[in-house]
Amino acid sequence: MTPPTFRLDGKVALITGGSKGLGRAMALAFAEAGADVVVASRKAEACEEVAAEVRALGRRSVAVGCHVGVWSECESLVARTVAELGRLDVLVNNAGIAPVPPSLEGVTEDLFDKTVAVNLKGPLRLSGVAAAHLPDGGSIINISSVASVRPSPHTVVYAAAKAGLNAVTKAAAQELGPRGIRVNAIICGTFQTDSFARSMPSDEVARQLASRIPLGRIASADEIVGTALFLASDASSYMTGALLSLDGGVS
Amino acid sequence: MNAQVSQLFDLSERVAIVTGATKGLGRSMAEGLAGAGASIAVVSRDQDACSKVADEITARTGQVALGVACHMGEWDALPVLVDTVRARFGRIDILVNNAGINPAPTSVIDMSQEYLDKLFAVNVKGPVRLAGLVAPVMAARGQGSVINVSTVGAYAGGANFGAYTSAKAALINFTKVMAKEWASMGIRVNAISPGPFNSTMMQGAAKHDAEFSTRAGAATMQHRVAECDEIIGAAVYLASDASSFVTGEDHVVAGGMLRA
Repeated sequence: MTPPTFRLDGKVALITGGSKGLGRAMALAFAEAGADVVVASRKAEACEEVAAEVRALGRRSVAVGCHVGVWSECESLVARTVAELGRLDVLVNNAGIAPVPPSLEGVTEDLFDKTVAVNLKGPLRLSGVAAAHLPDGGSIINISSVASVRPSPHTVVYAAAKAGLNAVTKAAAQELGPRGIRVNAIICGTFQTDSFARSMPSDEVARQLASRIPLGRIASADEIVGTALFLASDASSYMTGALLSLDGGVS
Repeated sequence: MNAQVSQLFDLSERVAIVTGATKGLGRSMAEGLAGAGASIAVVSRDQDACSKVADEITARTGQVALGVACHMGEWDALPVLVDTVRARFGRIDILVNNAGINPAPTSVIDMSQEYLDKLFAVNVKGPVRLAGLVAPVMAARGQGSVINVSTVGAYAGGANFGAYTSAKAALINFTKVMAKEWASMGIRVNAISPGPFNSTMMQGAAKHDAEFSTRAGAATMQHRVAECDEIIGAAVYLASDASSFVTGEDHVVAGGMLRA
């Protein structure tokens, strides 16, 4: 028996939205687990700070400014990953935005297009471009949201885009399965990140939210690390097309 | 956080009960949990087989393993099992409800009361009762992880395997119920639903249908049947702090076999 190590030694991971929150937590954990990491987001300078943290852990890292909603930028992001780090084993489609419309009627075309571009269009294109480079044993992880299965009026566009991402996960898993490339999604519940903190009008609202979660609390950003390492590594060699809830028991 | 990453999947000091642990997936999970540092109670009906596997696990991992015979279909035998494990190890952190039976295929028209009762006794009543007995022991220390092993067939329903697949579907529902009831005690409850593995049960199915394994592998997105050791990652992930915010969730380990 060879027990799973949950390690990523010798692998290269590309993480979008990697400069803060869940993306930064995954970037540092993957580096700790032995991977070299490309940190991508809209803000190249913020990515460089995380890349420096990765290098401090003894791994190689490249910071890339990229808007995943633009087809050509997805192509150049993957090309740069392979050119600078030599390969690509793990893609984490983590970048996301969730602007809140006032009502269904108040959804502007601009809000719709931006939300779908970052949450759905980018991950689909990046997966397609990355697939050409991913080896047997490669892994794509899509960061989805509990909103995709439990939508509400204020998340309508975001939820629809993430539901689309769930569908992309299953379709891509089917196409890439015979090549030994696995594609899974993490259905995230409520995490304590900067963007979450900004979205909370008061501590009281946050407390009420936590009380509706069976585990009775909001997750720390680090709590995505275990699931991400499980799905990125060979420990999950027979899991693909799965939508894994990481939500404290909500769904 | 960085110091934690190497410790996330570590089970040192923890005690796990694994039922149906002498062969197939249960055997792999028992040895896998021991490989991650846990002490193991190896449970199945046959004491000799339990003792033998416990000795092998100790020899291969260096962890303490105790073989305890118990029939999951016997309601009154289960408190004895829990008392035995508690007396030996002083604590219980992990329960893997893996024991299950899937006898000869039987259509609904031909199903007898004895057949249905037996299937539900071992596949539902036993695991639920055992979890109910272990939960207070876990709660005393404010932490625990229960893993119920179901099947991907629980979603699709299997023609001529209805007693098995419906019992396993009930176990998934109980998983969600237990998760909600015990979250405040610090106990997480999750399920693993395996697809086609090269297991003892799969080899049993091949006796009735020689092509079963080939067809099942072809029905997965990965176009293959898995080896038993490929279940270990999910078990260690769910047993450990790596899944600290995960509860009430079924993990289908089936190579992407569609839930139908």
